[in-house]
Amino acid sequence: MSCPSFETLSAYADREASPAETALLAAHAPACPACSRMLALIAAERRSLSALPVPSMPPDLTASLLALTARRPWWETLLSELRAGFAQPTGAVAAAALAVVAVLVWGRREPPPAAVAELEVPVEVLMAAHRRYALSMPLTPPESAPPPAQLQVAGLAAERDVY
Amino acid sequence: MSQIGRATVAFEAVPTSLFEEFVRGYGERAFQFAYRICGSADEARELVQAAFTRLWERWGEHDPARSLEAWFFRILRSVAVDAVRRRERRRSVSLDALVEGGDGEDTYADLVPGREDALLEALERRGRQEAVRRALAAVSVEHRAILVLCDVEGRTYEDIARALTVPLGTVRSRVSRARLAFRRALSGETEVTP
Ligand SMILES: [Zn+2]
Repeated sequence: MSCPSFETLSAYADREASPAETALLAAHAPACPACSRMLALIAAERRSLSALPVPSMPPDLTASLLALTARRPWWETLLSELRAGFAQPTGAVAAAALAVVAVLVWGRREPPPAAVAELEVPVEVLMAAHRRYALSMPLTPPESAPPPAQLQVAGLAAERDVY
Repeated sequence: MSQIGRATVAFEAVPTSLFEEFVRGYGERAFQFAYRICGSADEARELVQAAFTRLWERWGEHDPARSLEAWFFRILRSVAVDAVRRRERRRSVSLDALVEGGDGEDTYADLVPGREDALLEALERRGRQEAVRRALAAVSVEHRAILVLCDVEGRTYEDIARALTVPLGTVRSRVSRARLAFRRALSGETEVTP
């Protein structure tokens, strides 16, 4: 057998050669000074790369990464705005003028919702949240993945407050 | 006068704690990977911060059927390689360009002929660390990333294929070309004579 290509030898050194290549090389390499030297060199290069010193991660970087969760994703912001709207005193006008069902659907998967909140919300708050949501959507969805979420308005009925 | 709406909002609880767990579990590895790619602790910090920020921004897109780790390291690798490539773009003649041209069936006979023994000896000597570090810095950032994934982190080709979103056969040829590029750079650094 003649010596294999460097690519085959390199894959063999990583235990990633095909079974046929592996069988051939296992028989050939020990008796071939050139291939043995090449395999020894690959192993030495691997050791020398692994031995390069690397500093540890600065502790304040961990803290700064953990703080990322304080930047809430848009759907949480939407929810909190809806809640804030709910918290406003609405008086006797809460005659259920409007029913909106907003369902957040995550990508392709549609698991049972983990929580359901029923809220009474001024229309302005809903509209503001919706506008913000619309603006936050990418104009062109990424090719590989569907848009992160869809906001579906399932039912909408409105009536003017007569006071 | 204000109109009142009734909203029923169904939402999936955002697994914030899972993200925090992930930061603690993979932050250090991410930092090491970034440091090996860019060679500077300050830049590594920025790269890791950028990768985790992107991960958090896309948290809701993650398909739980797929590996979160593989997804994150794909993000990290692309953030790091893009940033370092931009920084290094002005370097016109990189050593590995010489090897880059010949794809596939390089026989190692025409690469650094007769130098294997000298290189091997040089690598085994103490105090070669600086030469190794400079040789790693001299190859393209793409080669560097693949050397770190394969030789330092010991990842399987399948793992690397997932991180690079390329076929398995491409990983195999890229690993061998990265090794040749590194060897060429190292041979320049150690100044062995043929
Ligand atoms: Zn041979």
